[in-house]
Formats: sequence, C-alpha cells, structure tokens
Amino acid sequence: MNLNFEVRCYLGDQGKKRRRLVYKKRYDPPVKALFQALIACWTANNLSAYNPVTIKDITNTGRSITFYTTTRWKCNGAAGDNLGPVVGSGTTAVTIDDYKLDTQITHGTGSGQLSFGAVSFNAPQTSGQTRSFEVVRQFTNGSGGTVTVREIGLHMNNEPSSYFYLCLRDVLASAIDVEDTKVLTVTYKIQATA
Amino acid sequence: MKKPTVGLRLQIWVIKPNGKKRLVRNRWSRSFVQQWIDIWYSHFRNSVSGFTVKRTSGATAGNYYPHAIDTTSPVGVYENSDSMGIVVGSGLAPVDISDYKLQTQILHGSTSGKLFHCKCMAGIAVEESTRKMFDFNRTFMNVSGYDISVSEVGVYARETNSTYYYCFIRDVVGPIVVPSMGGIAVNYGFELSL
Repeated sequence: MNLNFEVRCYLGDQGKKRRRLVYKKRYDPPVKALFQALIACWTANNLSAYNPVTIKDITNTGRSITFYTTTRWKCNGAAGDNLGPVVGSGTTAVTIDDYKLDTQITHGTGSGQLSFGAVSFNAPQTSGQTRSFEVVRQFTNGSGGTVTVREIGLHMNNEPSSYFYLCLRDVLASAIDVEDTKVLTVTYKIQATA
Repeated sequence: MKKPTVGLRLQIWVIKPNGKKRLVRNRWSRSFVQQWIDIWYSHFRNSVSGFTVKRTSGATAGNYYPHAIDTTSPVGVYENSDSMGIVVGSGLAPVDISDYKLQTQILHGSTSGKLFHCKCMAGIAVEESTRKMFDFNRTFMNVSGYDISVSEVGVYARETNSTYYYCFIRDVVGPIVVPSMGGIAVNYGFELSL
C-alpha cells in the first residue's frame, strides 16, 4: 500500500507570497465516488458487466458511467467553478458514502462566501522513491466579514459530462477562520512511494 | 485512529497439475509506479500539453489524451494479450518508482519459457460501511513442458482506443515455481477504507 492523498491548507494575504500552514493531513479520507471512478476507468471495456457503474453526484442523483463517459476524470475548475478543491462549514463526521460536503461554502463576495480561484497544478516530481503532483486552489475572502472553514473536499467531473462527484472529504480538527481580504490556499498532493 | 487506505491487496496462488490451488502470497501490493501518478495528473488537469507519460515500450513522445485506462481484457484480440492487464515476469530487481515495465516479462504462449495468458477479468465490487473493494484477476497456465519461475507481477493498462500501454504497478514476489501443466493465478484487490 503506497498511495495516499495529502492535504495542506495555508492562510495568507492577497498578492503576497508569504503564507502560514494552518492544516495538514497526510492521509486524507477518500470517499465512494473515487472508488467507483477507478472501477469505471479500469474496466472501461467491460462496463456492461456492471450495467453500468452508477455514481452519485453532489446533488444526490445517480449518474450512469458508460464506456463513453469514462474518458477523463478531471478537476481543473475555472475561477468560480465547483470543480476541484472545495470548502465548507459543516462538521458532520466523514463517512465513506459521503457524496457532497456537509455545507459547502459557495463562490462569491456576499456574506459567508469565498471567491474561488482557478485550479492550478504542480507537475509530477520524483523525490527519492516518491512520485507526486499537486492540485491547488485559492479561496479569497471578499465578503467583508470572517468566513469559517470546517471541511474541505475535492470535486471531480467526468469528461464530457457536467456532473460533479466528491472523491475526498475531510472535517478539520480545528476550524480555519478566513478573515476579510485573506486568502486560503488548499493543496492536495497525490503521491505514490515505491 | 486508523489511517484511511487506498491500496491494492495482492494474492497469488500456484495451481498444481491436478488442479488444486495453493495460496503462496497474500499481502499489500507494494508499488504503484510513476505512470500511475502521471496518468492521473493528465486526467486531473484535462490536458497533456507539455507533458508525456512513459509507455511500456520506453517511448514518451506524442502522448494521447489518457482516456479510460483499461486493465481488463476487452473481448477479441486482447483476451490473451501480454500487453495489458495483469502480467508476470522473472525479474528480481527491486521495485523503483521509475519502473515503466516489468524487468523481464514472461510472454504469452505455449512454448518454452512462456505462460498461456487467460483473460484478465474484473470481479464484482463489494461495499461495506467503511470499506469498498473490487478485484481483478488473471490465470496463467504453463503448457510449455517445463517448470517456469515467476518473480515479479504487475499491471499494464491500455489507453482506450489506442495501442499504447502503461505500467501502473510492479511487485517483486519471487521466485515462485509454476509447475509444468500447472499454472499461477494472480489477484489484485483494490481497496478503499476509512
């Protein structure tokens, strides 16, 4: 067993590189959709055997995954998009059957909202016997007040559909208060070690 | 607290000439290798621009989009293919994260030094409250007339709609003697748990 999803959260100021690590977990909890996406991917030519795989999206609707919709599993969300890292204010404990965040914080500058930046990626690198890449997103608080983040997750989408699936979810041990004008950066590191 | 798991269990049975099976290995697979991370990077960012994934041929140029990555045998020409699915070899070199193929693959066939590759098949997903599992497996029969030693196993995936192959997993397990007129069965069980 040599695969894991590590998550780190940083707080900083807009336009400044300096930031502070406020949360880190080496083994971020995977949930059911990730498992199903892998089955769909690994058995693409035999999906009829599963007739086909049905994955629950974040609206609690089952979506059939056929050979033609397993093409790419992506999380390259644009600014304001629900695709990629997401954050929320819920505190319900993680279960493997979670299909959405408990209470997702939405994109915007209104009260209780955060502005979602575009998702960026750090290309795979090898360090010793570990290979990894990173998925990064910034959430900027322009709401005028403090927004408290208590859960984080990762939404995937299967090209070419527009449905979103939650594949990782974590409830933070300590809430993160994102003050007005501050930037929360969430980084997922996907890594394998030989 | 138990850490969440995303991994593969590896089980290997030797099949005696009388048909009886004996479990000879039962442990976690030790290694996803580089291509696993690289393929998921391409999936997640939904682009192959400026990035290539190394194939089992050693080539890296001209990468296609990594569509569904199939490890089970589609019907027809791939059923007995040694280019995709679970594969075996005789190499004993320790696993390195940069491995892109087995060290010394045993090819499909019925002549000296070869094993007859049966279809690589997927099982049915098993879902429990805190654990999800799904198996894929392959049997190799030795009709070469001589004992054959298997020391490494792995998984090669095929890029759907192309003939490009990628090594995702390599495990050194040997040596395991596969008797003449017997066989070897390899099962990888993907497991996700909280």
